[in-house]
Amino acid sequence: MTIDMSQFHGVFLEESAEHLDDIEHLLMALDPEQPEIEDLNCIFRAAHSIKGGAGIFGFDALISVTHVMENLFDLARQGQFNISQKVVDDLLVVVDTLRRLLDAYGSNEAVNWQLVADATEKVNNLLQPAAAVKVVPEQGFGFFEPLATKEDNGAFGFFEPLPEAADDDGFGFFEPLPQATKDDGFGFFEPLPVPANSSHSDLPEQTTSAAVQAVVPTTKDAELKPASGDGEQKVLIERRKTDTDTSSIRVDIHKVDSLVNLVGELVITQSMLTLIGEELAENLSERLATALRELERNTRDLQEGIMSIRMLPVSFVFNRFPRVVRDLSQKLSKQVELVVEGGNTEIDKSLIEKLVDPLTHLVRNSLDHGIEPAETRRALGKAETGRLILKAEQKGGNVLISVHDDGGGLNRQKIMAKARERGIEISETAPDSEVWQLIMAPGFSTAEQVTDVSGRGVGMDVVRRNIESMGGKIDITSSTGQGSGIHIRLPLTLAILDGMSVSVSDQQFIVPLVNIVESVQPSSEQLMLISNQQMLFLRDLYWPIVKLGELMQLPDAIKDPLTGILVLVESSRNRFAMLVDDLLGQQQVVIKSLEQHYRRVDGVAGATIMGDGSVALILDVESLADIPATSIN
Amino acid sequence: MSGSISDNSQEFLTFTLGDEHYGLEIMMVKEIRGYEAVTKIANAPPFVKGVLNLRGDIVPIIDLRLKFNVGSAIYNEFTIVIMLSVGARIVGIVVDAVSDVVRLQKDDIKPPPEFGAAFDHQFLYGLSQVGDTMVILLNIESLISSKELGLFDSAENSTSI
Repeated sequence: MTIDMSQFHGVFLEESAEHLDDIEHLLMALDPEQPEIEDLNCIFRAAHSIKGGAGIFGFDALISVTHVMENLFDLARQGQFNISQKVVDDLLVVVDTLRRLLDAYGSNEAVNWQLVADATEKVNNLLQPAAAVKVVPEQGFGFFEPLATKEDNGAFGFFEPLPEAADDDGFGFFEPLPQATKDDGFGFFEPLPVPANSSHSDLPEQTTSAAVQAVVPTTKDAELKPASGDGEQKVLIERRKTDTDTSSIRVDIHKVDSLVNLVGELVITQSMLTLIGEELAENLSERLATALRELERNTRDLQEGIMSIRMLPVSFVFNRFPRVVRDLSQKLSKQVELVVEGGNTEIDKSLIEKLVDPLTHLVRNSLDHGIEPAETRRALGKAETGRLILKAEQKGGNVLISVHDDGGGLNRQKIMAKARERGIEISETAPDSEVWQLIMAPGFSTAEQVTDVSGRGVGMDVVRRNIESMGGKIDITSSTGQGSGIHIRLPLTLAILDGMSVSVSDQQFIVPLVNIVESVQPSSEQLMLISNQQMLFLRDLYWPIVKLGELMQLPDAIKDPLTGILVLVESSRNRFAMLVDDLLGQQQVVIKSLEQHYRRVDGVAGATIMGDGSVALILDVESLADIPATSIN
Repeated sequence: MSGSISDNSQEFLTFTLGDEHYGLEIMMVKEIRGYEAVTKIANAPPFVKGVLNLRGDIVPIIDLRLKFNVGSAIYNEFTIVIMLSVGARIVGIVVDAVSDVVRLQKDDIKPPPEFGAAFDHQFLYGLSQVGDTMVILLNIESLISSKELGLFDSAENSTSI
């Protein structure tokens, strides 16, 4: 039978990328003095899995590089090769090469064989002095070639290369397996013994078992057939379970998305039913109301459950930073310690992907311009090793991600001067928070080489735009000499929102519940006029009054705060009292994009469909807040 | 324009705005429905009436009578909304009435004259005589996606937040 192998490429490439991530993390965590055997085994296995898979698909470039890597770790775990810092550094570069190769195979580009040669040579050079074995990679995996052409086993690619968990030199329980050559699918195992005779003359046994191991996992029979080493196999499987800790399945994201959409529609239908239920006759409505409440609860649970499928821990993004920090701090010859907190905070997958670039930017900025070189730090009486803190936490309906360094902080004067130079108006007495926002102004940084003004600004406007496109906000804190922090506030998800529906004239609006502090019917003594701005004075705070009807150009709206209702809202930047005609009730709404068929509208975050099928706009309190003057404490 | 059945004939949906007759390529039409109340959008140009829920999609509704300044923009039970698919987007246009579907030969479509500044001829596909009436054939796709209408964020707009 012929099977189109390319359908499994995606799975293989994805898995290999994960293996590479694992290798990278393990390498970074490795203590060159006393490497943990288990870590070395893990790296060996990961490299090996890639090699095995690559063999099936005939990705020769990957094979050659992983093969030498595998050799190295094989020796290392037997204590015949000593890992040094240089080895780790070089191997990290090799991992990068492997990544590039994966990308090349993934996008069907031609493989850059020079890269492959460089990488294999690099590893071989590392090996040379330690093991007096001349490793000729090409010979070692020659037997993979026939395999690749014999694409007749439908099971390829489906199986995790299980037996690699057999980390010790043993591999003993594989011995029974070769018997399986009686089976149909094993015909091509014949050429196997050949490599055993080839390169590793001093490690014949090792190589053989490694070779067996390389092929076995890819065959269906190996897994399904309870081999004579049944007991061990069970142990193996159990171990793997505890290793990965959680079992998971890969699901096409579009399937999840269509579920999310369906549930959204269900929520709308459910609120329609609730509306109809309220109109029904008394005796009927009571029983119906009970059922409807049940339905509401179930719908909500279902919705939360489905939304949580899309949630991933932030560590997916954070995990790349130890490497970034390590590389960059070496390049800049600074000592930096990275502290990661709250990596298991969950956030929508789509947001995770979009977070990578802005966060990388921020981390690089902090390292480059924030944290001072060791000498400077010592002179200032600070610890020589700078600290960079990456932190994520959930706060209500938001996830707060911050990048904090203990460097020099932002320089107010320099930023002000540069702003003036750029023609940006800023008053001398502007609060710090406003000054810091300047570094994210477009064009603030692009023109000249950024070295000064504590430098930040390389693409900070791009960072801000990225974050804002996710519905997030950036705040900056800084104190001179003690460091600065960039705080990103992101919504948990983009799809659903808890809101209060309010009416203004004949229109309905949704105010996100996270923004609402409280709602009041003001008395006349609570209202006052300060420089023509109507204010509400409530419990020692002044709230500027914003008339939603005016903002939304609805002439029939209530204009006197005494006859309407004031909804006190708060955003990360501002707070004010919003005058509406009436409160209609609290509900969960599905956020629909206005931009899909129309365009962005100021002060509006999106739209939703109400129970009666009409459209209500969802207010964006943050951008509405731009309209009133700054609040007064 | 796409959607021609044979090489030299095309079908058009004709409709009226005030006393004038217009036509647009039928392949653009998604559905025709009566006018219903829309949700207003603040700071939108007057011809953008608002948005409407079309089976889960939030679509903008524009009144061509206000845009072309013909007829009077009254909304009653006879007012019609033609839902159009423009690329991936859906837009509704308000017209006074839908008249007919006509098949026109390429030869019957005359190139539009220069109207002057008031009516950009890039939105015109041509003119054709149908029976006794002159029908103005719109290039509705370029009209809907034009900057002049400002229905969509252009690339420059969306990047300058």
